[in-house]
Amino acid sequence: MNFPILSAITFIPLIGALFVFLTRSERDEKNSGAIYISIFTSIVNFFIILFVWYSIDKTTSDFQFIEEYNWISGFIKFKFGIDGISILFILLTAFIIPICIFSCINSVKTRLKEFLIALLVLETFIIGVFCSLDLVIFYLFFEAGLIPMFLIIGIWGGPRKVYSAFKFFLFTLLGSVLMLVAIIAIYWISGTTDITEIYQTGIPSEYQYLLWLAFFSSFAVKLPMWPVHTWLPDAHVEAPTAGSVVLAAILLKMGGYGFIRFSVGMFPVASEYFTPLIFSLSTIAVIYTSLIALMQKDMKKLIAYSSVAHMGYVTIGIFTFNKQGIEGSIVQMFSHGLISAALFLSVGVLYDRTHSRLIKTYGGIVNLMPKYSFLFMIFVLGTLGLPGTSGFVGEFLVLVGVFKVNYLVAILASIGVILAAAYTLWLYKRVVFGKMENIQLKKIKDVNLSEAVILGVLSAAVLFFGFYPDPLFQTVNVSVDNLINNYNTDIQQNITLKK
Amino acid sequence: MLDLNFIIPEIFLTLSILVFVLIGVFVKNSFEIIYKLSLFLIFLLIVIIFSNNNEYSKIFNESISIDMFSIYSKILILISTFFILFISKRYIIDIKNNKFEYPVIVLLSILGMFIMVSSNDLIVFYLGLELQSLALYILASIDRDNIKSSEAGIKYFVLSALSSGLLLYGCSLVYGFAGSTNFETISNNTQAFNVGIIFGMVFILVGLAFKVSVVPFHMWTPDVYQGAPTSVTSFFSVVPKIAGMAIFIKFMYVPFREILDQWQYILVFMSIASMILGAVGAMAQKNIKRLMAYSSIGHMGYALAGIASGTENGFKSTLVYISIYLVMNIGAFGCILLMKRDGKYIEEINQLSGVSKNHPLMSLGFLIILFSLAGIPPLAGFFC
Amino acid sequence: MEYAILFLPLIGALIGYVIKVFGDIYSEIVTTLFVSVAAILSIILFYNGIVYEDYGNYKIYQWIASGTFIVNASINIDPLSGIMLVVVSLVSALVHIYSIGYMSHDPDKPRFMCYLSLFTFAMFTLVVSDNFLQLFFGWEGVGLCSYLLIGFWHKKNSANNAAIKAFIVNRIGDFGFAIGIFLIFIFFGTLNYEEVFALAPNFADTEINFLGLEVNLITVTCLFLFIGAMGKSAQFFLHTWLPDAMEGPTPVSALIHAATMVTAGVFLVVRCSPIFEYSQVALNFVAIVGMITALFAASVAIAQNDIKKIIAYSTCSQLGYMFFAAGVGAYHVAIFHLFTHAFFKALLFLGSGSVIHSLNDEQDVRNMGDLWKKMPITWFAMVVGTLALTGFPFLSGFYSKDAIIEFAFLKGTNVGYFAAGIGIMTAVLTALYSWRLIFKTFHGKYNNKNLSKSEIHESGLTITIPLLLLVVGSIFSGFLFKEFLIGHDYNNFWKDSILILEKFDHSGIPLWLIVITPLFVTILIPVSFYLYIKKINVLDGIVLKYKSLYNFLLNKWYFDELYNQIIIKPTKFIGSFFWEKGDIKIIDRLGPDGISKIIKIISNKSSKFQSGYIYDYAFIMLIGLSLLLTFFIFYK
Repeated sequence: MNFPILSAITFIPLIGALFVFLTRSERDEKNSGAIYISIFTSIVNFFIILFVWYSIDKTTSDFQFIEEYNWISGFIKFKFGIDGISILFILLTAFIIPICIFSCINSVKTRLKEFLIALLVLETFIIGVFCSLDLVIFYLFFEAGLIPMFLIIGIWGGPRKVYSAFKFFLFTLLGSVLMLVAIIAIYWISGTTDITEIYQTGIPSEYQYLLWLAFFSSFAVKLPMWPVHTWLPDAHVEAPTAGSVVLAAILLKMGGYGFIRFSVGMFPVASEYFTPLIFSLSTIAVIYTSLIALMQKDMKKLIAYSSVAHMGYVTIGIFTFNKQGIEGSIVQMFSHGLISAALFLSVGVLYDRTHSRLIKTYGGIVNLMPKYSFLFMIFVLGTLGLPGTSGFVGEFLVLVGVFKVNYLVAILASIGVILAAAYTLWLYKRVVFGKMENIQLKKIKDVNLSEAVILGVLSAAVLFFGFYPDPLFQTVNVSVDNLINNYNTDIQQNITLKK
Repeated sequence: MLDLNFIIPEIFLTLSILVFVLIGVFVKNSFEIIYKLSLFLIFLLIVIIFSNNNEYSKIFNESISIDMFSIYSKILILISTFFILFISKRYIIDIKNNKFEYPVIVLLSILGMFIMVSSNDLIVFYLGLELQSLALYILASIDRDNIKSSEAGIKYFVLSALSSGLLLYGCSLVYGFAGSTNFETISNNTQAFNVGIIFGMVFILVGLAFKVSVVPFHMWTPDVYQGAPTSVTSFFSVVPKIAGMAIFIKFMYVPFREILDQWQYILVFMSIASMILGAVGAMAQKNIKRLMAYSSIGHMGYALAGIASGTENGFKSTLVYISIYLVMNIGAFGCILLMKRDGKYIEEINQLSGVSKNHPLMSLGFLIILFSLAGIPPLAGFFC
Repeated sequence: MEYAILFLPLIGALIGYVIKVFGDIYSEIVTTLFVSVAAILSIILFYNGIVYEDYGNYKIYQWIASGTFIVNASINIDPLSGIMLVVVSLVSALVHIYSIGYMSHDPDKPRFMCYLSLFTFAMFTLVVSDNFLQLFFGWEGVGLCSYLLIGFWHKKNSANNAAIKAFIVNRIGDFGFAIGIFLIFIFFGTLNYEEVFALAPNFADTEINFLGLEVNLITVTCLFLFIGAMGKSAQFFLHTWLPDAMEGPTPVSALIHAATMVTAGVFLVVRCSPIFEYSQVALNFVAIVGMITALFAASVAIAQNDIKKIIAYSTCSQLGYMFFAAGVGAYHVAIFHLFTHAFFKALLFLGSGSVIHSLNDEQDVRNMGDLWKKMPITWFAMVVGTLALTGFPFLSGFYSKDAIIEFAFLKGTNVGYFAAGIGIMTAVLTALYSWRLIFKTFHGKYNNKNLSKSEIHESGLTITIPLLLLVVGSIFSGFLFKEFLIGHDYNNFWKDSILILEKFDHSGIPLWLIVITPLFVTILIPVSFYLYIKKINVLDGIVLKYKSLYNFLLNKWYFDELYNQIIIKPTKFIGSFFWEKGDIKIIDRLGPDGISKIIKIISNKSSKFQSGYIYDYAFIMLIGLSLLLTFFIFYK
């Protein structure tokens, strides 16, 4: 493959953003040129990525479509490449961003043009994260994603936007500073920052522990894990709908992806060593945040806390180091990307109509909004992991995987499933069912065409991957096998070394 | 006479300054013309230095060294001065400071810096340093009618005099123990356990640290930055820092090369202290110029970290850092100089809110610069 | 045909939902028609199975494949799934027809019909599954439909709460079920029934370390699976959702909460008989839970006043019968009771629905009475249903219930004898509350003040026809299928679908055991007539005398209150505690807010150094210098 397709999919949104930037418009005016350009670029990019997904060789675990350029000679190479795991995340990103763009056209009232630019730039950075095969490049994209997100929260956010934006920013920045130090350390230790080379040569086990912790601090904040999750509810609550969607659907996944690609891939010995830490933090996260979610009065906060709980399953699954666990985690992340995006969009639909996110504002809207209620139901069921939705497949596999390793963790994590049912159904009941007591709601209108299409597409995806998750498994199958094999050989080697 | 070829820029600069003074005296309201001439002069100087950079040598009894390093520093100094003059003209006119002395003094300080960065001898170095500092004292208090500006000038003058004294004392100590004022000779004559040289080195370091404002010799920075007119502050925050860092590198690289073990500790300490103080101090500031002062303290800390490594790579990275720093700082001050409401310049941060409504493009630019100052990739500040 | 049976209800539901734009009647017709066709097809399938042994396994597609975790979606037709298909589809079809009449005044009829069809589909997938995961799919699917249907009248807050309660209590059961599935996958390496069952004997003596306890693998697996069954079938401790579920429309109660979904737990235990048979502990546990539930629910039913709740507790109690039948190893009898129970319990529910419908949604038996002349068909149907339920000789319940007691006795163990005793006691209680229901509703004085008696009339044809069909089923299903399902040659029918290691010896049944239950039941008819119609004050006296016992029963042994106190309130409290104390007070205060506060303080402190006085500055500079010098003096 000579054509640099990965660079293309990464930078197409950026070029789109440039064109959007060049469109002229008065402030706050609806800028149709900007809208069309951004929709066009994001959708074209989505289809190119679909094609990449289709054409990627699913029988090999090697990185594919590799591109390599010298950037700072002898030090940083600009290296791109994907395998079965990363393509799924890229696909998810390219799928979610157009949806965000569609949704923000109506809901963002001020500075739409800048918002679109921020979204497109964000897409570039996120795809870059999943494509990069060099630690420095990875770090660049990983951190760069903060800026547009910070702006999205800080400019288009709610009343406490500044506090939330800074909380988000500082949490993530502090986490990743340590990762930067670790990356520099890796460069000193192994003389390269090329991930494929590091995979082959490996990192001496005595260094792994500290490096693992440094990477962990970054990913744990990003994911987020307990107890560094508190930025997430605040950020979600204040962010505009599209911001929440990107945050929940994609940005969190960068943490999970990082765990798979770097923590497990590069530091297997340390990963094994720290598994109890991950298990206990994640188990706490699952139960603790589920209980908190139960008591939330704000819809977005509730969903945010449920995200933390769901990400708890992801980390548990990754650190089982078996097929079901890791594949379950990947599917769980993918499905959470779809479901949480859909949930935030659903909240956004209500918010656009009444400008309230509080649960008590609502109640009894099912008669006036039957279509909405139907779609919302599907997403709620996806969240609580009903079989037939994509949420079930991931969650169940993770639990199967962890049950192989540790009964107690599996049982405690399963309790989270019960709690998930409790908080989601209670939310649904309080919002959708019951008597309509708020007079303002009397005039509320059902979803319009564009909202219906967005939510419809998402619900179709949720159901499709619930009934037929095979495409996902086929894509990641070999890569995950390879990951586990490498992990096992490294662990074996380490044991023999110690003897 | 051949040696004079190498200092053509300095000679040209000196003569031009004299001519400008004459013009200023005899032509009324000559601010405009001298300002433009100065800009043109700086441009010419850049061209001259570029066209002259093929030969390196040590001249005047090896007291001046013209090499790639000094040329690079000079070009940095010139470019940043050019931009700073360029962006601050409007401001100077607005605060009715449009006297012809202004550009002339700026040029004089540049002359001092030129001498300083190309010095290869303690005496020449001190000469350049003092010429530069004298010009800066006047610059700080150039807004004579403004009490704050005068106060800043005085403060800077007194403290700088103190530091110069220390520095001079250090020079004499070094001379006494090393037996020479020439950098190379000093380097050859130093031994690690010579207390006298080490003391001299400490005194010189303190003097230099004062110039680049690193902890604990930074105290003047916030006050002077705030008190001086913004146009001057922007100059202060960039140009003397370049020169200071350049000579810092030179000192560490040439005369004190042999006692690396000793000064490394000091530099590490100063650099870390500056980073922390710069970050922490900046948090509580309400005045954007004071904030920039703390930011520059922090950045000098980072720049010093490069020197502290004591390797050639470290020195290089400091130079790169300084170059990026100057871009960012000029940008930031460019924005500050643009922030005007109802004809008045804004300095308090809480008044800044809402600027983005009137100057969207500028606020975006300011934001990017601040992100870069904060070191967020992929912006340049990250690579430092 | 298998595919048609499985997918017809789903297609019906989808088409029905789309077609409602043309009018409610179309979706009603479509859903009813599709389910009815499925019912006819399943009867043919069942017949083919019996006559031609036409069984088989049909793979639809590979659902999940992750490493060795491979699960297919498939249709497995064997005698057990065949008989379940018949029960489900038949009752479902009748309930569909019934609903057309019953729901005629409801604006959301199409939605209701679609949910019913969807439920039928989910129940089918549960029944025809050939692996545990698809079973789980159907299991949760029926739970979802049950949730949707209980909360169908979503304006009623109580209905919504009941729906959520049903779902969550079921989830607790599913939690156990899921753990059972995990255990099976991890030790057996597969979730396919056939493979798991083939491996089960090998693991009969395997001990595993489970959470620090040395336990038998089979036992612990069965117990966890049974927790799932307890949730779904509303057994003791997890039963609280079933009475509340009566908030749903009556057809739903008939279909889901009497005939089909709640029996899924029994189905699960019977389906897993090849595993359960290897663990006596688990079987005894099943039997004991079944006994307790049977007795408990019957006792509560006596004191209830809501017509549907009485029947709901009766269902609960009958499910207990089925479980202890399974627990003593008489799986075929359990299914036989499930089969007959489906008919008469659906009949009772639909009959009570007819009454409720005619009385404008009145459900309290104290506000009824003397309706039998006004509603003769309903009365007739209810009486037949009651006779069948109580086990009146030669009606369907007689065969199945007596068989349970007999088999329990035949088991010959302590648990078996005990179960037989409980069975008889429960039968007595059953007769009491059932006749109380009949007499209070259809006889005595008319007590309703809101509705004049003359306005009451018999329900329409769509309601009475299903009733009459079920009457036929209630009368004949026991008599016709007895030999077949639980006779001497039961194995001819069941083949490999259930496994009974210990064969029962039929010779040792004493005559008194056969006679005692029908005798009691028959005697109790006039006794209850006396108690509930003739001499009401006798009963009132008893109630007054044992006030606390009566309240205890009336309040369902205070289970709801107990759970509220020990589970729901603490959970909410802990949730708030974690949020307000954990997240906000501790993590945020010590984390970001705290750090930023500290930095601010330091920052303010550090700016205080910045006094503005030159001598301060000079002083600090000199201090710095001397520190550096001192450092060097001491360093050397």
